[in-house]
Amino acid sequence: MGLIGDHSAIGAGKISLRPTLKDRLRTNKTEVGVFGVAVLFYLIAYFTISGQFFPMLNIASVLAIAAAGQTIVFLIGGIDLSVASVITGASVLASTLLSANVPFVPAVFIVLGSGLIFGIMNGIGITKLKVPPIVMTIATGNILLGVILITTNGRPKPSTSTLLSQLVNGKVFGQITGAIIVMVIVGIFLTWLTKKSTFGRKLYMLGSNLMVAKLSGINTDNVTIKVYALSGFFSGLTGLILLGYTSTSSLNVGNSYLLPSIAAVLLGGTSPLGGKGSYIGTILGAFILTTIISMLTVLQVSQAFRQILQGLIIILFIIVNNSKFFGRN
Amino acid sequence: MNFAKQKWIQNQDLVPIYSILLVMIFIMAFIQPNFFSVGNFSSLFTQLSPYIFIAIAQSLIMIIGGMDFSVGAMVSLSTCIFATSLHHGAWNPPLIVVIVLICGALSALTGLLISWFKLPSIIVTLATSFALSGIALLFLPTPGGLMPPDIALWLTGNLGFIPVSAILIAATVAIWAYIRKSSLGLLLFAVGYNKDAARKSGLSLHKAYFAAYFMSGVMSAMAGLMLSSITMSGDPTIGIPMTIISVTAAVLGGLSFNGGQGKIAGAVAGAIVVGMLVNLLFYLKITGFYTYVVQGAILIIAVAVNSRRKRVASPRWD
Repeated sequence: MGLIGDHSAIGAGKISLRPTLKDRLRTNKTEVGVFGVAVLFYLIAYFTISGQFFPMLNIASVLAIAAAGQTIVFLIGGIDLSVASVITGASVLASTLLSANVPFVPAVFIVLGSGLIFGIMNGIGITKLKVPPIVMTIATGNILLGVILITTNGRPKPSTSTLLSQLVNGKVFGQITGAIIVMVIVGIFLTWLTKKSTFGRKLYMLGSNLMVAKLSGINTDNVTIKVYALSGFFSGLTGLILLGYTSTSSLNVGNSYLLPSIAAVLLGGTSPLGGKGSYIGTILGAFILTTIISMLTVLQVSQAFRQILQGLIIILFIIVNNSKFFGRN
Repeated sequence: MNFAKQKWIQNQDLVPIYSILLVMIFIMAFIQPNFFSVGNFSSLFTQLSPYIFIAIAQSLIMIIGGMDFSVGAMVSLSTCIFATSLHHGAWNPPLIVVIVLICGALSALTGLLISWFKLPSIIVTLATSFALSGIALLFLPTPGGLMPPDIALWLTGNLGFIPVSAILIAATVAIWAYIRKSSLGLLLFAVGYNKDAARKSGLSLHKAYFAAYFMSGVMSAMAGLMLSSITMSGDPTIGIPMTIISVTAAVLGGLSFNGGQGKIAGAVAGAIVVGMLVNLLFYLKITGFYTYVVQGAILIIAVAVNSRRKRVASPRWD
C-alpha cells in the first residue's frame, strides 16, 4: 500500500508524490471508521433523546483533554494510571492557590508546572529505576492521593475564582465554550507533535518496537520521560478545566475520569500495545462515549449498569481493535 | 549438586522477604507487649488473611505473565454477594462454596477473553474491574447487608488454638504445592516463562489462562469471605485499595512481572509484611491518609530493587 498516488501513472512518467484523497482515507481508515461511528451515535442520540451537538461536544471536550496525555502514553506502549490523582491534585492545588489570592496567571503556571514535574518523576522512575509503567504510575498516584488527603485533611476548599469559571464556561460564537477551544488547541498541538515533528516519529517508533528504536540510536529514555511529562501536564490542565467547569474541587473528580479517558482512547482506535493511533481518534472516541453516557443518563440507567456497560464497551472495542478477525494486527 | 545445595538455590529468592518478616516481627513484639499471646496471634492472622489471599490471587496471574487489575473489584463484589445472599441457615456452607466458584468462573471468563483474543491483560482487567464493581453495586448500592453471625464468628475464630483463617491459608498453600508439581503447574510456569515456546510445543494457552484466572478469582472470593466475616457486612468499595496491596505483596515476595517464576510462599510472606506494616502505622498513631503514601513508596522501592536483582539461574521445574 504505497503512499504514492496513482500507480498506473508511473509508467507514463507522471508520478505524483502527493497522496490522493483515496490514499489519505486508506492510511487513516481507523479514524474514518471511528468518525462514522461517531456520526452514527450522534444521530441515534439526536433522535432518541434529542441530544444537542454543542452541549455534548462541551462535555466531550473535557473528556478529550483528560485523555490527551493517555493517548501519547499509549502510543509508546505505556499506561498512566496516576492521571486520576494528578487531575484531583491539580484541581485542589488550583482552588487552594486561587482562594489564597494568588494572581490568576502565576497560579495556572504553578499548577501546570506541578503536573509536568510529577510526570517527569513518573518518567524517571519508569526509565531509570526500571519500574513497569503501570506499577510506577499506580504507586505515585497512590502517594499523591495520600499527600492530597493529608494536606486538605479530606476536605478541599471550594474555588472562588470566577475568572477560571468564566474562561471555561464562557461562550463565544453562540455555542462554543472555552473548554471546546482548549480541546481544539490541544488537538492541533498534539496532531502536529505526533504527525509532523521528529519527536512524533520517535514516539511511534518506540511504541512499535522499543528494541529497534533503541538500536537505531533514539534516546528512548529521554522520549519516554518527555511523554510522561506531557501526560502530567495535560492532567494538570484537565484539573484546572474541571475546577472551572464545576467550581468545586472534590476528591473524586480525578477518579471518575480515569476509566472514561482510557475508554475514549481505546474507542478512538489507539492500541494499548503502542505504535498505532492518533489524538483525532481520541476526540472522536470521547464524543462517542459522551453520547452513550448522555443516552444512559437520560434513560435513567442506574450508576451500576452504567459502570458495567462502560467496562463492556472497553472490552468490545479492544477486541475490535486487536483482533485478527477485523483485519488489524 | 547435592540436595541441600539445590534446595538452597531454589529457595534463595525467599531469603530477603523472610528476613524482612523476621525484622517486622521483632519490631512488633517490641512495641506490643502481648504480641506473642494466642489471642493476639489469632486476631492478627484473621486481620492479615484477606491480604494473604489477594497476594496469592495476584501471584497466580503474575506467574503466567500478566497482571490482574480486577482483584480489588472482585473482593468488593464477593463481599456484597456474601452479605446479601447468606441467610438461609443450614444452606450457608454449600452456598459459600457456590459463590466462591461463581467468582472463580467470572474471573476465568476474563482469562479466556484474554487468551482467545490475545488482549493485554492490564487493559482487560481494568475494564472488568469496573464491570465487576458495577455488579457489586447491583447487589449492594451502599455498604451494608449482613453476614450471618455464626458463619462470621466461626471463620474469624479459633479451632482449638489455631485460627481458622490460618488453617484455610495452610490448606491453600498445600493445594498449590500439589498443583505446582502437577502438569498444570508445569503448564502455568511454561506459559508464563515463554508464551510462544509454550504454544509451539503444543501446550494450551487457553487452559493455562482459564486455570490461572479461575484460581485467582477463587482466591479473591476467599479474601472477600474473610473481609465480610471481619466486618460482618458487605461494601462495594472495600476492595479499592486491595489491588495495589496485592501487587505490593507479590512483588515483595519475589514475584516478577516477566512471569514464569516466583513462589507463593514468598507472596504469603509479602502479604504478612504489608499487613503488619499497616498495623505498625496504626500503633505509631499515624493516620490513615499516610498509609497511601507509605504503600506507594514501598511498592516503588520493592519493584525497583526487584528489577535490579539478577534473575536466578536455577532449575525452574523443581
